[in-house]
Amino acid sequence: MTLEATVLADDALRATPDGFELDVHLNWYRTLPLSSVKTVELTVDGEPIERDAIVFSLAGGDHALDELPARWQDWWFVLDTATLKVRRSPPLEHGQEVDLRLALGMRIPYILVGPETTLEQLTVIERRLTAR
Amino acid sequence: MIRLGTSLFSLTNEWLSRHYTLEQLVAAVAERGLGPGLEIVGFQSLRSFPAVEEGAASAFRALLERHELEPSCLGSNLDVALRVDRLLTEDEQVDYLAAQIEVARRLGFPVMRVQHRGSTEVLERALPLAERADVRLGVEIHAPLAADHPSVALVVEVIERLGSPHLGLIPDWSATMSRLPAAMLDKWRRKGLPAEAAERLEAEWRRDGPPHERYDAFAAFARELGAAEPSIAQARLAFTMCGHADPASWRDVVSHVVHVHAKFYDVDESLADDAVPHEELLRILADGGYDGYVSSEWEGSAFFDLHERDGFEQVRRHHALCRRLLGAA
Repeated sequence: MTLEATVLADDALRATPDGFELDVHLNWYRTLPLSSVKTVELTVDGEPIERDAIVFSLAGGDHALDELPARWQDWWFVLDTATLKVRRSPPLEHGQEVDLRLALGMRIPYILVGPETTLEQLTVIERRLTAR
Repeated sequence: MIRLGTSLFSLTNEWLSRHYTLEQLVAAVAERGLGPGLEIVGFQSLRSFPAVEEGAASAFRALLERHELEPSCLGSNLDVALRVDRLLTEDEQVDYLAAQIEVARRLGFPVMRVQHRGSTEVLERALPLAERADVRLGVEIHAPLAADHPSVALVVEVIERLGSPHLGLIPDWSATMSRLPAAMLDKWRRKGLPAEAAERLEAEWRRDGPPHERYDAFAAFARELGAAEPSIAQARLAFTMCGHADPASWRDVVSHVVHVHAKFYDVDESLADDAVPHEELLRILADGGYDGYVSSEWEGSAFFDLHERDGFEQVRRHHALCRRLLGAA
């Protein structure tokens, strides 16, 4: 579906000296607080990335994934791009093609699907991408 | 008199394609004659909402004026689960709405959509702020709620007790659908939902009872069939987006309506829609003497990609359909 279609652009993946960076768009139609970021899971060529090797970066602010639930006063504007900065050994090389799997789950803070349970919009994308 | 309009929510795919600025999107609505009403969701269209600087507010008003569009409704959100550790308190919910009422006033919107999350206390406390700002609060009745739901009866009771012209209802046609859109089920089947699971989804959707229980029954069935988890998770939308209440249930509340969300999912070239009973819905409004906007709100973006459906074309067809039905009503 479409909210999924815009999450990863063709040029979303970049090689860095200590791993890679992945540009991510929101999988919802409106701006959400950073506290809504519930699930971020990454797999490269079938190999899962450790959660603490991922830094979520938006508008110049870097956050460990475990810091996000407390950041309900910060917004992810619907058209803005977040970058996942990932430490990985060996780092990706420019021009390297990989099979990437991203699971992005956002808690939707105004849709309760049970008493005190919010809807989680979970998007799983599997794509072969070339690192820039 | 019933006037037509467009909610920019209908153009979610176009907006997310990042090919349009807000100015270009509004201009395109006007060029295609999809006004005069223009509605936005604050958290979708405006960066840093609900903080909107005065320059941005006056630019927005000038933009609509330039294109001869009329601000119809600002969609607010009540993000009760903003925090992970607890739901917002009543005080916090009132503050959350207060900031958005202020933006509605400054942008020139006569109505603000309020999402109903159970507490009428919050509404009662927000109402004086809305009166001061001269913004009418419209409590949205959206699936899985409907006009005959007990929690909506509480809102109607408050509206009638307070008798304020600044408090009313916004029917969302999602509440009274005749069936799930065939195009949505087709799309989900193509994305890996087994046909048998899709049938069970329709059956659970038609049943009465708490939506999350019906979803859970569907999900358990789909899992047994070995359906992929994302396809199961996706299908939850059927229960949060679509409801099957009787359209006639709107009749009792028409006199309280301040704005209408004409939700739809797929209007074909012959102007047919298999899921939303437009004719009956418009007749109920006309019979009830409704005076205001019917704002076209296409939500096919929840399952169609930009290359599959053009949001502008969907709204154009929807307007053509509404005009035809209103002419006959």
